[in-house]
Amino acid sequence: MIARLEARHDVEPVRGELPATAGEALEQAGRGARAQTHGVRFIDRRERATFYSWARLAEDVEVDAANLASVGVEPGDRVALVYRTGYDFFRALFACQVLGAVPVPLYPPGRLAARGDDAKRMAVLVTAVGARLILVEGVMKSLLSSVAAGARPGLGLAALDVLSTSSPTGLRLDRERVDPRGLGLIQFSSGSTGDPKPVALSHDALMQQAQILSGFWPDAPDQEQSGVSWLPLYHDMGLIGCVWPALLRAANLTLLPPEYFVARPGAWLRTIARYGATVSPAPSFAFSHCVRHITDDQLEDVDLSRWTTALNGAECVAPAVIEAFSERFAPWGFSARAMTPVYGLAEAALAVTFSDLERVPRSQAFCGDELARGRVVTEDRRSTRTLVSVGRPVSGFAVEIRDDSGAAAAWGEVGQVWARGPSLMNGYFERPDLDREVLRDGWLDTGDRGFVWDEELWIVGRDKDMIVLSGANWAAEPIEAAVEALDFVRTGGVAATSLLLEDGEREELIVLAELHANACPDAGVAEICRQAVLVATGLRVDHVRFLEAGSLPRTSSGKLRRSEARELFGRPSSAQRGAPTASLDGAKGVSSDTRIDGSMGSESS
Amino acid sequence: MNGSTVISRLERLANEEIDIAEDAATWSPSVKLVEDLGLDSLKMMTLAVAIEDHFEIILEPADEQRIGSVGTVAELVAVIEEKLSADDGSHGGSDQPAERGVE
Repeated sequence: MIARLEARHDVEPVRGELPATAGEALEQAGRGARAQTHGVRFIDRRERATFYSWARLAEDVEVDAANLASVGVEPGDRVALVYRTGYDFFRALFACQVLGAVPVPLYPPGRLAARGDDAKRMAVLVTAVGARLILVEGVMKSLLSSVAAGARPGLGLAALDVLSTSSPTGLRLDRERVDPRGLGLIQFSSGSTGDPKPVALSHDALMQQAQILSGFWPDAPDQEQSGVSWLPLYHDMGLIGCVWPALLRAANLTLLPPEYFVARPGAWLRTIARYGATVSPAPSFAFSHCVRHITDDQLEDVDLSRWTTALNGAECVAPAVIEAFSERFAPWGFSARAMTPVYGLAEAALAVTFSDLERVPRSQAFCGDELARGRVVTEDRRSTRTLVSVGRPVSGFAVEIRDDSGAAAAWGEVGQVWARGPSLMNGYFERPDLDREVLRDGWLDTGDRGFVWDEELWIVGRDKDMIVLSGANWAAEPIEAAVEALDFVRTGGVAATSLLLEDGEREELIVLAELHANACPDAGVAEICRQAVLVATGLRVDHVRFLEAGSLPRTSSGKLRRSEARELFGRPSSAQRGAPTASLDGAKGVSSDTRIDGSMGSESS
Repeated sequence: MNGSTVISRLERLANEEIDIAEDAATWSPSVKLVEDLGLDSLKMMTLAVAIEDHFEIILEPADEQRIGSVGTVAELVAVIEEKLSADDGSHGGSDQPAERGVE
């Protein structure tokens, strides 16, 4: 029997006519019954709110779009957007879409960061989509001049406010001309590595995904749905997951800057409580961040009981984190049933599967050794690996597990997760070479590995980051989690990968770890790392390499780029060339001159 | 306010707000935030927000990109503080009326 899951039928998309384009959706929200009373609210660092109604946004966007047209932006043009969370981002985004141009949100430069590669990286992204214009917040204009110099967009670099013309309304916008099948948004895949992957989505895909998502939270007589999010707006879960369903329903959406969440996580929960939000999504790390950093006194008068949907996705869902969060915040009214593990990816616009909203997350112990061999076995033999179900396909979607040859796998087999649905990307922007790798007959290869068990999808790990040892496949996550749990290792500072070394007879397991500044990167510490992995997974690590803090390559949304880390391991750093290096390998000798060096860290090999 | 006072306030603030290794470098103008103190991007974010709260200033993105060491942060903070006190004591440009627009 083929391991395939069809769409769930207990949640149906909202009925009614679906707007064909983002511009139509905004027009609808700006004229509907909630136009004046509902909209987007921005929370500043003192937790004061600034509110803009959907009507106000629609009105402003009309002017902005006309201004964009007057400076030469045409339908189909890509426009890079570099904004922090704020009203200007919304104006820029929708102005492009109303005009039929294609917004490409990029992440703004980091804080307190004098990182020269920020500009270089941004120029690569701008070039990858052939942007004709870079729209930026006024205060960032000087900062981005080097990006513009590198990428040379035809219309240059501009802030929205300086585009205003004397008679913008003289220019009539023709919404009918915007083709629903045309591109409505390009978002860079979170899984992007050195070679950025611009995910090109049509207006239709965006609207379909918005309809799917909003179907999960219909308003009830005693409950009006509203959202709170601190997720970056260049991130699929932040933009498509929050903005689009709110727009379609003309619901209230309250946004905090991501940095504010990181620095003051309590502000997230206080905002949810203050505005009675019912829906707020976050990746697993955020829930863990709350458990670690929020103190009771930060939650005075906070009531989380109206928060019925805490979507948990965008990275591997950690069972222990779910439990810890639910337990920690239960006294403030948080219901364990609110936690909702979900699965999706930028290439599908966003959501592919949702677990049941009214259920406590479902976890199950599987045999880790058998999973590595591609078989789903629940009895605990040698190693246990607890996974969390990400539920069933959302409306219109189907999921199928396939083997390496592309043939459908059987129930009980682990394989590649393929997805089909109404909001898949058109393709990567002008990258047919990449399209051929992942799109086949209307199906998308998600690049993730998983299985169907008891009518639900379970994700094992990233396929492309798969570790292959003695013919068995392993996901990197459990190995990394074991090392990360050590108190001298930086949170999120571990990469596990495998590599066939020169003259090697088999792939060897490599752990790259960033240590806290006070930890000594010596043989003893390496041995503790090895021991932890061994205990948790039964695997022996061949090489432990310590890195300087912050040197593991990451995507814009902070995800580890293991393939790049793997390449870096294969390349000796300049400090090592021709010099004897300390060895922390296996049972081999131990040298005391292990050090952490600048570029890619010291070796322990 | 002179530079060294700002640095000691920054050090105290950082120790309150973020985990910094006990044996990390002693704070001085040449100490680098990432290389010497081991601050990652999340800690940088936290420190930036903490500085803004504590000194009641706004750090502009263009200024922040020039920061690399404790000395450059302290200089920036001192310059902004001075400017603010010259502007008869108002606290930065952040104080907008709450709930602007149509609510």
